[in-house]
Amino acid sequence: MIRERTRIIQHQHLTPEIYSLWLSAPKIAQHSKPGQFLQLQISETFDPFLARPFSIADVQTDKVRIIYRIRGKGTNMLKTKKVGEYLSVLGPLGKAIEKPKYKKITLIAGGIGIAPLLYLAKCLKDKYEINLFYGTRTKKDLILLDEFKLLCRKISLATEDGTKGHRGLVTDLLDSNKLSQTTVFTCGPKLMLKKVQNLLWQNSQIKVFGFLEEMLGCGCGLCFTCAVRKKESSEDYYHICTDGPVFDLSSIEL
Amino acid sequence: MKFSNIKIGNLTFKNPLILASGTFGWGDKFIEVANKMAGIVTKGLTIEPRKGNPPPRIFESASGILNSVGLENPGVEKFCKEILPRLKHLKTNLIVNIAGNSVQEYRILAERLQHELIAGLEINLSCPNIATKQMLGQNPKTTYKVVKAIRDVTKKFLITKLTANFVNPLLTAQAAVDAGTDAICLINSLYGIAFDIETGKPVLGGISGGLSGPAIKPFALYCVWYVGQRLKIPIIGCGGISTSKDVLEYLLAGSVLVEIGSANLRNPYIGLEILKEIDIIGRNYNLKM
Repeated sequence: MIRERTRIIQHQHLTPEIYSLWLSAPKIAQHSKPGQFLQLQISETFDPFLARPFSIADVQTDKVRIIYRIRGKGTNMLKTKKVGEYLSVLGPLGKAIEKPKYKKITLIAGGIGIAPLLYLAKCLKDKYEINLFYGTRTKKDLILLDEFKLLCRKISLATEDGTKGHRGLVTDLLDSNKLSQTTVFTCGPKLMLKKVQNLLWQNSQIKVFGFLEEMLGCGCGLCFTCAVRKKESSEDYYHICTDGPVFDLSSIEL
Repeated sequence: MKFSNIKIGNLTFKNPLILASGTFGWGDKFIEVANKMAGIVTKGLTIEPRKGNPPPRIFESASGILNSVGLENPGVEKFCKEILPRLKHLKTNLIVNIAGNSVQEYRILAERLQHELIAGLEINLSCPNIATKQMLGQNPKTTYKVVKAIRDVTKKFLITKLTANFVNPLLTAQAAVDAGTDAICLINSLYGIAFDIETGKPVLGGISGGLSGPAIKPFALYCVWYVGQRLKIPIIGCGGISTSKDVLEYLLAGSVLVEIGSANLRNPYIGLEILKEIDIIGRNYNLKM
């Protein structure tokens, strides 16, 4: 892992609450793989004290992209950063995803969980058939659709208020029978991940991998604070930053 | 800058910086950082393996961190067989933090580690995250008993890491000195708790936790100064050290060495950055180090 002083080369909002940030980070970009994440040190003062983890949404030769939603102190501070400013970044962190078992890939995204699936889809598109299920609260929260159209065979949308696609939750659209021989990657709210995890119990011919988004301490295996319970034993834990952040959902308790 | 060697007991420290227990894993990551430091203290170790507390284990407060890891560790046997061999090439003082629930447990740990290739032991009398009614380090008598039991079975360099939670650390420091510790470390994290106002429940899986980071620095610094004025014992200052100025403040307050803790979580290379900076600042202020 590398700590790099990165320069902001593009920073724009995709919706009033969601921002896209491109950083010039030649060393980190060179080593980044889908599934991995970055720790951004947002404040030069100590409030907030910890760096903030963001999944890698895209990589080009010498730059990396993150896409984030305004949530708290850290992201509110991050959104004020301007092009030309610098951010210290540690990365790439966590394990890269393993080569998918099945040729058919299904991506299931909830809200800002779409972000890491973009880079994943870009890396898999040449050798796999990709379908996307994507749900948000409302139409204006749907982002990156133009980019996904170039990567996916089919896109199925859901909005909670029915302003676009299915009215309801994205998980309403899932049929475990149609997902046989498929590798599923999912990222979004925990409740959504749990529903996707349930597909596993309905059809053993599905592999489901979930991107976990939790509060991290160091992000690099030093502090053991990012524990997630192993499925097989209620007392054993994985660490999100070193064992994940992407987990086979048959192996963890959500 | 060539720092003056700091000699304490049977050990030599090449500069004043040590990486604190629980904030730098087992010492097998970021080796380039660890090697430049004067020492590294490994994650708290118990006789039997401990799974640790249920998540969430971390919560950020203003300029600080609440943690509730609960001494997750593989137990002393696995540590000696699987982790220690990976650390033999470290070019720094490797100090093993040990934690127990009784005097007997500390003695067993010290005996087991007596012949291992480590520089010393840090006696953790102050972890706020294990479910005992009272920490052994909250009482001068039990502090004395633990340190004495360890001293009786090992010649290794001993640091006693004390708490300032509901106890006067001067009294427990005196007890540790009387029992034969080589140095004391002040302070471990402070009790803390946070609530989620939406659920009405505590945020941490372990309910309460240990507060660390810049938020506790003035208090920790006071403890170092207060004890340092009254006791002749090498003090390792710990609590919120995040910059080179923090290090110099601790040295001015009476520390001979410092432990960098939570700041490693913010930036695992902070030890190297501080080392470079104290060189420059030390020269500017004509400080002897």
